[in-house]
Amino acid sequence: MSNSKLKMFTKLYLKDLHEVTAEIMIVVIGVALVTAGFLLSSDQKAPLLIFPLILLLGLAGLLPLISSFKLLSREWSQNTVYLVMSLPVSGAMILGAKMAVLLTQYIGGTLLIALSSYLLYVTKLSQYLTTQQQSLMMLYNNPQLFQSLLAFYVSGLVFLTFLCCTSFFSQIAGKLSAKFSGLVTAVTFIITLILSGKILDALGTGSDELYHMMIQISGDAANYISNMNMSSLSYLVLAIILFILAAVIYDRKLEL
Amino acid sequence: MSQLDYDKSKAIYKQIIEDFQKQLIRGTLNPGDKIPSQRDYALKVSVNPNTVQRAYQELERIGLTETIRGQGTFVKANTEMISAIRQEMADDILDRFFGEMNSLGYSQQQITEILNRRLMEMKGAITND
Amino acid sequence: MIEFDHVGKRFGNVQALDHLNLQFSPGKIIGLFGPNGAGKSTAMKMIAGLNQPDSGHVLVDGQKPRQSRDKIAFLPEIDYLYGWWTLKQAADFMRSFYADWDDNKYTELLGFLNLREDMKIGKISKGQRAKCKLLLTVSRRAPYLLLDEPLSGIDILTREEIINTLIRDFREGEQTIIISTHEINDVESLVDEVFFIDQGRIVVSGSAEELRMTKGLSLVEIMKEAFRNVQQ
Repeated sequence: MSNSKLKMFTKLYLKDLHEVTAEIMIVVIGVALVTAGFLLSSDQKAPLLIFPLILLLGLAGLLPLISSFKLLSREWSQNTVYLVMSLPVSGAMILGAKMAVLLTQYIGGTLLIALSSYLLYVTKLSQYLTTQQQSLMMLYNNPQLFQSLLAFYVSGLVFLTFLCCTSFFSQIAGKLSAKFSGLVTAVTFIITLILSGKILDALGTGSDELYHMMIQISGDAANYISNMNMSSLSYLVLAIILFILAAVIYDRKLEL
Repeated sequence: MSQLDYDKSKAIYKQIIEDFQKQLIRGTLNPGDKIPSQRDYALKVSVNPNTVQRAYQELERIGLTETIRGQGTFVKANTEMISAIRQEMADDILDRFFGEMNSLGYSQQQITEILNRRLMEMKGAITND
Repeated sequence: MIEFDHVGKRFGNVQALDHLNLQFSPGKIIGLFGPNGAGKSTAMKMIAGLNQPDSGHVLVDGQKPRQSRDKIAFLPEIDYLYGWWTLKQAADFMRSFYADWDDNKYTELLGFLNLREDMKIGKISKGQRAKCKLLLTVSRRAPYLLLDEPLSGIDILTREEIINTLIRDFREGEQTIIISTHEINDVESLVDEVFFIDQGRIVVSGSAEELRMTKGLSLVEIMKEAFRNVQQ
C-alpha cells in the first residue's frame, strides 16, 4: 500500500514538474550563459560577471513563488482540476507533490548557481587572493563560515517554503469564492503574511533588527546562527500550519 | 440476424422477439441453429444488454430457444410451433386491419371489394414483370 | 446504489438542485435527461464528490462521495486532461491511481476505437479527444461510470463508436453506468432506466421499456410531453 502511495506521489510530482519546465529552464539557461561568459572572457572582466550571478540567485529564489501560483491556478484554468480532485488521494498529497516540485526548483536552481560561482572563483577570482585568504575560503578550514552559509541557505529554503504555503493557503481559500476568487486570494495572502510577521514578532524571533542587535552586542557569529535557526524553525511551524489548513480546506470544502 | 430497425415508441425487447419470430417464419433461422450470444446481439443492434437479456429470457420461457451450458443458445422451436406463431402474427395483423377499417366505417362488403381490387393489381404487377 | 435524499444546491440565484430525491439502482444503464441547465451536471459532480449539497445528502453504497472516489469513474463534459500528455502518459497516470485499471481492456479498446498511444491529447480532433476520455474512463473496472454529456458536439460516426463501446464493455449486474445528456435520441436504446430532470427536480422517471409500453411514446416524445407539462 505504501508502495502504491509513493507511486501516486511520484506521478503527481513528475506531472507538476513538467508544468514548471519554463521557469526551470530560465535559470538553467541564465547560469549556462553567465558561466560561458566568464570562461570565455578575459581575467580582468570575468569578476564583473558575479553581479549577473547574484541577480540569478535572486531569480532562482523568487521563481518558485511565482510557480506556486501558476501550479495551482493552471489546474483551474485548464480544467484539469476535475481530474485532480477526482483522484482517490488526499489534499495533502496533491499539495505535497506541488511543494516538492517548488523545493526541487529552488534547490536545483541555487545549487546550480553555487556550482557556477565556485567555478568562477576557482578559474578567475582565486588568483586575486593571498594563499591565506584562499585557505580561509575553503569551507572545511572555516567551520564558522560553513555554518553561517548553511544557516543562511536553510533559512532561505524555509522562508520560501513558508511563502509557498501561504500562496497555497490563500489560493485554496480564494477558490471558495466563485466570483471574487482572485481578490480573496490576494487579500488572504497579504493578511496571512502580516499576521505571520506579528506572530513571529510576538515570539521575538522574527524581526531583522533583532539579528542585527544580537550581532552588534555579541559580535558572535554563533549567536547569529542560532537566531537564524530559531527564526527558521518558527517559519517552518507556520508553514506547516498553513499547509495543513490548505489541505483540510481542499479535502472538506473545495467545490467545482 | 438482421439489423433491427426498431420503433422507438414501443418496447424494444418485444421488437427483438418479433424480429426473431419473423426470421423463424421466413426460414432464415431454423430449428437447431445457434443464435448470437446476448452480448454480440446487443452490439449488433446497439441495444442495452439488459434489454436483450430480457428478450432472450422471454424467448426461452415461451419455448422458442434453449441455452446449453457452455455451448450457447439454440433454436428449439419445431415446425408446428413456427406455423402456430405465423398464424398468430397474421391474426394480429388482420385484427388490427379490421379494427381500423371498421373505425373508418367500411362495411364487410366494401372491405372485400377493396381487397379483391388490391389482389388483382398485385397480380397484374407481377405478370407485367 | 446511489441515493439522493432531499438534495438542495444553490449557485447564486440559481437553484440547481431542488429537494432532489432519486435512487440509481445497480447494474443498470441509467439516463439522466433534461435541457441545458436542468441540474444534470451538478448532480453528476455531486456523485463524483466535486460538489457538496447545501441540504440533504448523497450516498454512494452508503458512504459519502468523497470517501468513494475509487469506486467512481467520472467523465466530465469539459476537457480535463493535460494537453501535453500523450494518450500513453495519460494511461500511465490513471494506472498508478486506480487499482481497478484493466490493461487488457485498455489495449483492446485502444484498437477498437482506432486510437494510438502516441497521440498528443492537446493536438487531436474533438472526436478523438472524446474517444480518449471514454477510453481512460471505461478502462477502469469501476462499479460506477459517470458520463457527463459524452456525445455532445461529436460527429455521428464517433457517437456510434462510443455507444458501441459502452454496450460492448457493459458488464451486466456488476456495473452501473449513468449518462447525462440532452440528446436523448442517441441513447434511446442504450438506457434501461431514465430520469427526466428540470429545474433541479425529477419530472418523470422509470424503466425505459415500461415507459414506452404504457405511454406508447419514444423517450424523446416523453421528454417533450413532460417539459410541456412543466412549463404550463
